[in-house]
Amino acid sequence: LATGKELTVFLKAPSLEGPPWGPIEVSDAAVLAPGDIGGIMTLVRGVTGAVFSARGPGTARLSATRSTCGPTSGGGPSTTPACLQSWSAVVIVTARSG
Amino acid sequence: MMPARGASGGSGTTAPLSYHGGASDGAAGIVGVETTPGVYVVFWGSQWTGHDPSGEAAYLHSFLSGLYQSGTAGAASNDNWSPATTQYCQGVASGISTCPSGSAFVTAPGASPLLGSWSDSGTAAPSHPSQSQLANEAIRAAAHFGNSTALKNASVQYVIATAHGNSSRGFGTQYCAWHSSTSSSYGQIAYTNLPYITDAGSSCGANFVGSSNDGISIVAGHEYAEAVTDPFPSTGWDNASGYEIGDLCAWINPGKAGGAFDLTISTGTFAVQSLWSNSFGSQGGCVDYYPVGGSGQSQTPVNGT
Repeated sequence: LATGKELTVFLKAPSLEGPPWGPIEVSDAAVLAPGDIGGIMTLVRGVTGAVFSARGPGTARLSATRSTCGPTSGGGPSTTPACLQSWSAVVIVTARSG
Repeated sequence: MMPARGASGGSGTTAPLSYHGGASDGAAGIVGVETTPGVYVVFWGSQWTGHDPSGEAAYLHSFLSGLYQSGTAGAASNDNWSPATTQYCQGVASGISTCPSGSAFVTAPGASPLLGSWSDSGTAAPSHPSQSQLANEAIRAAAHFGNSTALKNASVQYVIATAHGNSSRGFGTQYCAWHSSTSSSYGQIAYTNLPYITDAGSSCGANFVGSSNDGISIVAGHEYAEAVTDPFPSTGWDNASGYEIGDLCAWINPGKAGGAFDLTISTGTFAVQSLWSNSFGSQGGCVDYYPVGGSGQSQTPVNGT
């Protein structure tokens, strides 16, 4: 991804009824900065989305988790390791082309 | 790790909304909310003519025209949903999450916020409108309605509704609708891209509460409330992750705390989602019930479910 470009990410849960993916996080905002999604969306049910701007050369990891277990007694998603599904992607940002 | 700007349905993110300073808008000054909300609807393109299989135009018109209207205090037909926006304000310091008394609050208009609708059907809309084409249509709408100054546009929004099979790309797989703003010679223009929601079926809310048209009012209501409290994204009210008043409470199943429900107002019964209230409880929450003035706001729906 060239510096100055944008990357939009959508993560879709396996079903409309299941828990969605949590917020998409980035390891190094100096490389890949959370940006304006270009109009604030009502996302489709079960979809989590985010947009990032390539700020400077380097490597950044995007990651998110979702709970695959039922809710806890308190009503929130279970966060025990056995219940967490993880997603990640490594993005390499290069110098601005041209 | 830094969370990205975006949204996820019923994400559980609980950080309060805070004010982001507003945007400079010419003679209108710094604008961060719609203090006297008004909305115009544009049914864009000849594709609407004789071709509205779900009756979305009439449904949307009825929903928006009934918002904020309050008759007798406590009457069942009052809109006790959209006044959740009235706790937010402009003209305060960036970062603030509670508006002091005397702030320039969003106010509940005494009459319907629906100020006009326009069937712009002289020519076909683009088959898959781009963001810039939607923005240009919003500017055309401002001209059509005679809103030719920043002052006239500072507290109104334009809903650009596209016809069956005529939606922008990504609709139904990524998003159901979005709102944004564009600069123009008439000042900043707040607008919403509202595709033909029922084309997406259950992905955008069909039968979410119990009716095939549920998604129309759920999604339109979500965008409406967000455009009132963050008309020029993201200079109004967002949380640290970029979530707005609707994002934090999207797609919570009916029957759960803060879940979607049927709202009965003077113009009919419409499914809506809850809205984020900073002033609910000690940490805020998704409220279904927020009468004008905010006294007695509740997370448990009093209408429906």
